[in-house]
Amino acid sequence: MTGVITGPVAEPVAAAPELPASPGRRRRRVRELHVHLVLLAFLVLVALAPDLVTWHDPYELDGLPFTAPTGEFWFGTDEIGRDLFSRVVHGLPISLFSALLAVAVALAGGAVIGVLSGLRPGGLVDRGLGIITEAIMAIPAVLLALAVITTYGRGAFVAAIAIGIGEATGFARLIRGCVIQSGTLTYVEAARTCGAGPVRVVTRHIIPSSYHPVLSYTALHFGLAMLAIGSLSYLGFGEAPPSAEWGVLIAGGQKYLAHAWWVAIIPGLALTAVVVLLSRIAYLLQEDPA
Amino acid sequence: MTPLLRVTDLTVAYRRAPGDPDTALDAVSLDVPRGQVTAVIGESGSGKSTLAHAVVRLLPRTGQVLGGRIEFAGEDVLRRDDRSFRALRGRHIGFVPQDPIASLNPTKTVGAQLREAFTLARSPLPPAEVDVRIRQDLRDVGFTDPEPLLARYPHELSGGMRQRVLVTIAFSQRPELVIADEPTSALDVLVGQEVLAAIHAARTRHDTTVVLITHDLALASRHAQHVVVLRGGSVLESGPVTEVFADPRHAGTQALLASSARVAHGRVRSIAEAYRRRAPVGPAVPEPAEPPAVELDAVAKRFGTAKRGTQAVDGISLTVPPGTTFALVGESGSGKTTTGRLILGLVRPDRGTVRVFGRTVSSLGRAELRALRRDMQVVYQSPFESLNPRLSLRGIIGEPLDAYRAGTRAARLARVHELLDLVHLPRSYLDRRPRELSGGQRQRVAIARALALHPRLLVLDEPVSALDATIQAQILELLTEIQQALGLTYFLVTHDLAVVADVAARVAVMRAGRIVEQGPTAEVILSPRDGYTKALLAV
Amino acid sequence: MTGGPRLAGVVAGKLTHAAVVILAAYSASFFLLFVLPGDAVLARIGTTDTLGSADVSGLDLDLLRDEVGLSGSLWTQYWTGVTGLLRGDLGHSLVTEQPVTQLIGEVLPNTLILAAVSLAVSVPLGFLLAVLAVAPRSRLVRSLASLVPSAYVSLPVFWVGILFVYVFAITLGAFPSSGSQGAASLVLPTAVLALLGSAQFAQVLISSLRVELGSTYAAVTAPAKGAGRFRILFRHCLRNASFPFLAVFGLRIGQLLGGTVVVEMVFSRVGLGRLMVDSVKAVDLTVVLGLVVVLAVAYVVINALVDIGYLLLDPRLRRRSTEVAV
Repeated sequence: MTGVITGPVAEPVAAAPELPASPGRRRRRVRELHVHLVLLAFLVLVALAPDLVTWHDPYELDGLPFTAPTGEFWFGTDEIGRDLFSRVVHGLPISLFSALLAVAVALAGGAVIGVLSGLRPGGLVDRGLGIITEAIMAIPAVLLALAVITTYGRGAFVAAIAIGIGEATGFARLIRGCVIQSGTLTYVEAARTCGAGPVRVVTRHIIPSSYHPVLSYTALHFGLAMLAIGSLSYLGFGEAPPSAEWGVLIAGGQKYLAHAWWVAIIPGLALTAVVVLLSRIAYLLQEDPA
Repeated sequence: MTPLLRVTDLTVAYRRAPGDPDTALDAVSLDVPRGQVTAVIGESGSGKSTLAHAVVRLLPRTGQVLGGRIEFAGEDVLRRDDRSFRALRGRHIGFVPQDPIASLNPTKTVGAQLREAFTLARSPLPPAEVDVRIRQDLRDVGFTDPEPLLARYPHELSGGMRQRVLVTIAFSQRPELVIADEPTSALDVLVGQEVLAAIHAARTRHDTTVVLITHDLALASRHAQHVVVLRGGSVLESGPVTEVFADPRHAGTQALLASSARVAHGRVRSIAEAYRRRAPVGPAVPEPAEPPAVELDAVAKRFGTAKRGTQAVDGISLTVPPGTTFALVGESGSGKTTTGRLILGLVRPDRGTVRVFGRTVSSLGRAELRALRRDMQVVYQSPFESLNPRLSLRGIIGEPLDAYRAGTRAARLARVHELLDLVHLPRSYLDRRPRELSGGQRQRVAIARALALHPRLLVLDEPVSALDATIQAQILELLTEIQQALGLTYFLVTHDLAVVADVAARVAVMRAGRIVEQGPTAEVILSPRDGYTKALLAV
Repeated sequence: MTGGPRLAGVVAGKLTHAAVVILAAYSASFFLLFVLPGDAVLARIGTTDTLGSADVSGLDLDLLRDEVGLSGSLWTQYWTGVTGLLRGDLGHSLVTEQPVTQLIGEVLPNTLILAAVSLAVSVPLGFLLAVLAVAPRSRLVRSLASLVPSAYVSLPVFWVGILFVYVFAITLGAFPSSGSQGAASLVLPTAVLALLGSAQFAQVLISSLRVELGSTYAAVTAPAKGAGRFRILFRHCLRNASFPFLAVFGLRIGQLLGGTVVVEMVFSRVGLGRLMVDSVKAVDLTVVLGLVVVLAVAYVVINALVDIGYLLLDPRLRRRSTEVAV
């Protein structure tokens, strides 16, 4: 139950492509992937320097409350007259970087557990770690995250670490499977009989052959972590107002839905757009270019 | 009499990318005479499977018939729409697929899948008679007791049994035509024989016309009356088997026939006959004074637990003289691959000793084993799986050099160049990746990698079985050439006695973990004593 | 087929494993909540917002500890908790002093109804979408049906809820936007959850259906017998494609029990999720632990049921013998 907050499960990512890959198809996919990666890079740039693309201060009362979207206020203004566009742009780094932290925690934790248990499947270490993984999975991720946040304090970064811990179980399972599978590959055995030592086998053969599925899974869970962080903020366990975190914006706008829909709806659209971008990247990464 | 099936100028292409169609069949024409077996032969990529699938209209979504006619019983069936064409399948045209493992629905019983054929063909038989006929048909293809079989699921049957079930399905509606697409290529030789016997029995009983798609010339010449030779999507020639095989007119056909030393003058010679006709190629057995390269003494290895497991190797002993080729022959599951792995030290024996160049492999520590590995290397069966797709040839062939830090970078590169020369690959291939190479070229790369550290022993695990016949001949030639130049010892693991006859000095035949017969190649091939060896030789 | 004793052994092994997982989940949560912060009392004080969490030096911690029911050493508390667990006693709320089982029992029906109704809708809808993604001749319909689920799972659930409130409750006035009374109040939250569930199901089903449709028995053997596309899809592939679905189905039930928080907050409903948020906010640790235990039990039970489901449906797992008369 790793993705409990947001729902989506990871398994469907291993989707089979409708057609076998042909050279032309592969080229098109790689091109599409590059376009998406450029988009992502642009988002990261904006996140690093949000002031470059906004002309209002996200925390100043620059306009009248509840101004509908106009040329001056692209996304309108909120209940006290702050520019929503500027707030959404300034919320991007919070969402993006805390989600990055979450997947980093999940990936690091998952890699350690996965590699340790995958090297000797069925061994004592594997079974012990298996119980721990399953126990964490048995605790709903929301509850786990809420518990961590209560004990360590509010904030997007604590929320990110909390989510990362929950997600680590999924990464651990995936990486364990990859390690076990690549151990059975003929070319890995061939490398061993060539005299390649364990370090060489792992760095030159096992990691490169596992990294595609893991990369794809990471991209997908990057998006899911953004959703999860948004959910926690919405519940009041992440960032607190007046932060411009998207979950906070949506929660704040909910009260005014009836006469100012944009305050809640537009930040949600922004969040969706970024998550769609990330899951598309995940989908495109699934097919191994090698 | 008009032929039952007549294909005229059939052109089929696969859509790879917009504007880049890949033509698989180029204006192919052929006749399939009624009541006989027509073999369509060709190597991989010749379009023979595409032809089979195009006739029953089962091309994958990317495949398209671009032109031509397919006349079945005088009617151009390409004019039919999908719905009315479906009425032909099963009832008038049966099909035996290539891969018995994936060709049956894993969650339906064999009985249900057999009965479905009757339902779909709207068979007029009442259910009780259908059951009787299914049982009779199963008996006809060699199942002595069909009753328990009907309630089984496919995973409970062996590959050969599944293939015979598929044959039963194909013939169940008494179609005029049955197309068998490489029905034995996924099976062991002797099991394949049973399947072919089943097809033969069903065909003669019901007077069915059969199209047999195959890459195996011996099989074609033994089972077919007519033959069509395909290459690169075109028909090279066609005609009665005796004529085409005895007097091939096209250079391509001649090359194909030359790749199999067993086909000559229109008929297949037995392995023994073919062997007798040639001077033995392998080097003569040297004096026993030299210490053996490999020695196995009462070696046993079991996988799994005592109750549920398999005795892969059951007390075998053998001696490989240095500088010669020793062949270990057996079918899948005989334990031959495990024996190869025991020699390489990848698997440790439960009992007995494995000695390579006088050192006991099983007692070596990690470092000593690593040192010994410089002397023994391996070439795997599938060149598609044994090469890391992400590395260039420089990385793959240079891997052992890098792993042992053999010399400077420049020296290693020079050695890689030398190895490319040795296996007759151009030096310009250095930066290519495996997927840019053909199967035969990949196997050359695998051989080059194995030779990088100047080993004295090569374990060749089915080195040619994944390759086309003409390529097989080239690789075997290359291996012989290298052996003579470098004085290597080969431990050849194979299922194919024909390959053995070509290269080995000594042979051991393995079955169910035991060696049933061993000796000099001439002795084993020309005067086999064991019944199993005789059966393998009779193929 | 295996005999009775072996079966009993397997069942015993599974039960032990389940017990170990539940105990591990309980212990992990216990130590996370009680040990890591240094002192749960401080955490309780820190979040009640009446005192600054920095200045606690002047307080009588022991008195407070007694007050909130956290006296005794950690191990004593842990031991009391575990033994209580064995008796089916989850303790009393630190805030309201009601038995935890009673608190959970009060809200459970609400969550169960929501979960059951949304599952009942999402399973057929998921299958429908999956079939639409592979069966129609029209490429457009196929791509749409396979794109919609993957786009839908990228939407933030709470935001979809808000959107639904805006469209259906505020703009159209068709359904109430909040509350947990009556069938009408169930419509919008169910819709949000059911759509998400069906999108997840469809994603799994689509990918496994594509694998099945591409395998030789469906692509060659069955059509060679004369089977049409729909027969192949419905009689052969759908069942075989359902096995991966089963795993996701189990996962989804778990999600619905533990993860309806957001929906319950959006629609102001009473349920397990809300209880979870409230008790975490109030640092009502026994209730939180009780929820962990209940949900962990649900998790292992569902997993066991899924395993049994596999055994019943997949003959490849049921019989392993390969001996058959030739």
